[in-house]
Amino acid sequence: MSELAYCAIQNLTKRFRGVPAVGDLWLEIRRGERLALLGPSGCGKSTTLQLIAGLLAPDSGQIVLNGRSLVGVPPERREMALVLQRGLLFPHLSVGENVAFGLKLRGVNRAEREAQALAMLAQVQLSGFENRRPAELSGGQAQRVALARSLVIRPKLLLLDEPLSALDANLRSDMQNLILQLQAETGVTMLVVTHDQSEAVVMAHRIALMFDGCLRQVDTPEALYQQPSDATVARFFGGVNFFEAIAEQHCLRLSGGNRLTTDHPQHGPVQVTIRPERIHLLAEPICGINLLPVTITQSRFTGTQRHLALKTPTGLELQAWVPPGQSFTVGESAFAHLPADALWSFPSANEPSLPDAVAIRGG
Amino acid sequence: MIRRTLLILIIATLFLPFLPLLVWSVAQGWYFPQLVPQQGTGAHWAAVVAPGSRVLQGFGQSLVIAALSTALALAVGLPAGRALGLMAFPGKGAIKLVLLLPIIVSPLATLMGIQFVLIRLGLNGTLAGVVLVHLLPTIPYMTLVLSSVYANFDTGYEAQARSLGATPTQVLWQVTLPLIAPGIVVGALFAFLISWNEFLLTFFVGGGRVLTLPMILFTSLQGGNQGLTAAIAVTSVIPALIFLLFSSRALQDDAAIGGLGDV
Repeated sequence: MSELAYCAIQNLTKRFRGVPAVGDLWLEIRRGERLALLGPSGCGKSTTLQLIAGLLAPDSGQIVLNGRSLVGVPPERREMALVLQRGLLFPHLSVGENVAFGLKLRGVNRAEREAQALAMLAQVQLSGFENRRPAELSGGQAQRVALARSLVIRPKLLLLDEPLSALDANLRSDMQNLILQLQAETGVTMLVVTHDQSEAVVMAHRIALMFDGCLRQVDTPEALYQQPSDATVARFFGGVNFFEAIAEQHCLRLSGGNRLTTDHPQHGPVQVTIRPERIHLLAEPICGINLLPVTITQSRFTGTQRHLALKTPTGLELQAWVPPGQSFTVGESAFAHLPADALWSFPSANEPSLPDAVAIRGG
Repeated sequence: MIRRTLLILIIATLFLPFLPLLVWSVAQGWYFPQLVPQQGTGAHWAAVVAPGSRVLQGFGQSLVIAALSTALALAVGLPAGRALGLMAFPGKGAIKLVLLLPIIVSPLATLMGIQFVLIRLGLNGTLAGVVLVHLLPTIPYMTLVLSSVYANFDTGYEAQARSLGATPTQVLWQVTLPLIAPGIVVGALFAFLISWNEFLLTFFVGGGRVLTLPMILFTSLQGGNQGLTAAIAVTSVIPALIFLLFSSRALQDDAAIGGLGDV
């Protein structure tokens, strides 16, 4: 366990009727960090969250928070707070009573908890809403109250389960900003579960990518985009360009005889990937290195970018996203420049065969 | 306009049958050719409300029995309804069917055996025995109502409360019970009225020693005093009316959720 770990999840395993939902999960969260647990629905990330919150008991493994082992500790004594997708404000209590709920359970006196609840409501920009009923709130307002209700008890770890997925697209970025702002103000350590990679990228310092109950890669958003550990990870983050090559240190030999240079040395048969937005398209071969002659086979304008499909004489197909000002017509010849620092590769045999998708609780 | 007419029609069909009863209860005889009784009297009601009258005693007896069997049915129905409504387990369909049996099968088929057991336990002819046997029809109703309430209950509320620091007991009293309160009201209403109106089971197990209001009503009916019978009958409707008013108010509350649609 590293010194930096504030919350350490060790060897966490959970099966449902023999079917593994979470398998041997190791994860460390630093104090004040925003970590996203990202994965497709059914990958076990919600189960993981419930295990951390203590709502489910793990088959094996343990969770340590701030030096205290949480084995056998019930959810109410874990010093964590949970915000679920649906908000789940208690409908029989007013907004103010909802926010004060956790304080009341902690024996805070009435005047004190009212003051704290009002201050917290002001922080989520809902001053004056304390006497409303939850049924009178919009979805975004309800989610903000749920956030206030969780933050007012000053949890050691704030757990968010798909906090934005029930909201409209335009409300989502407001809510995202509010969560980031509140996290900065309170310094709370935060674990957010999401299936949306763009959400994870914006909200988290680090992303833990999970497939089929197992962590695949834990890294910064930049690293997950530029340096995925395998093709599955790359595809999950929108990777579209994959081709085979033989690597000898910094040199990649393609099957058609072309050679490319990469900043990231490898050895043996590898699969190469490059982000479509990192490919430059040139009309003339200005620089000599890492240039491939291509023909444009498709051009699609998306508003902010132009998506081009390219084909080399050797049959290699690539996609490039170029600025909208660069206009190439279908059938035109050009040169694709693949920058050495953007060419990333991993051993071909690395891609493990995934077991058939199994029904796993949660999403 | 049509709505209003319909409403009046419904109320009329529900309450008109009580009109002759009310008239009977204040009439000094009411015979065939007369459209209205020739002579009124307060004697029947005086007999009903006289201090220490059998009717008042029966009213009290019925109240105690109905309240006790409702409370016991709730104690069984709450956990059973939760299990049936929220959990999946083998044999659930069979259990629901078995639960319905006391409603489907005539109590006459089982009463002999029940009486035999109660006599051996020394409970035959006692209030406790009657309360016990009233659980036979009340528990199925209570459990079925509460299982449908729990089927629509979001346990996320409980998880949420736990993570905010509530112990399981605090969750039950501060979250679960308030949220399913409308369902509990409906179930308790059913159970209370079933027990309140029960005749056959009381008749057999009470052995003539436990005199509930229905027992007194039937005795009076056999006695042939129609005026007094009508007064007792009207008396026996009072709790139902009170509960109807009370429950309609409870169910209208906006905060009331928990399985009765979006009440």
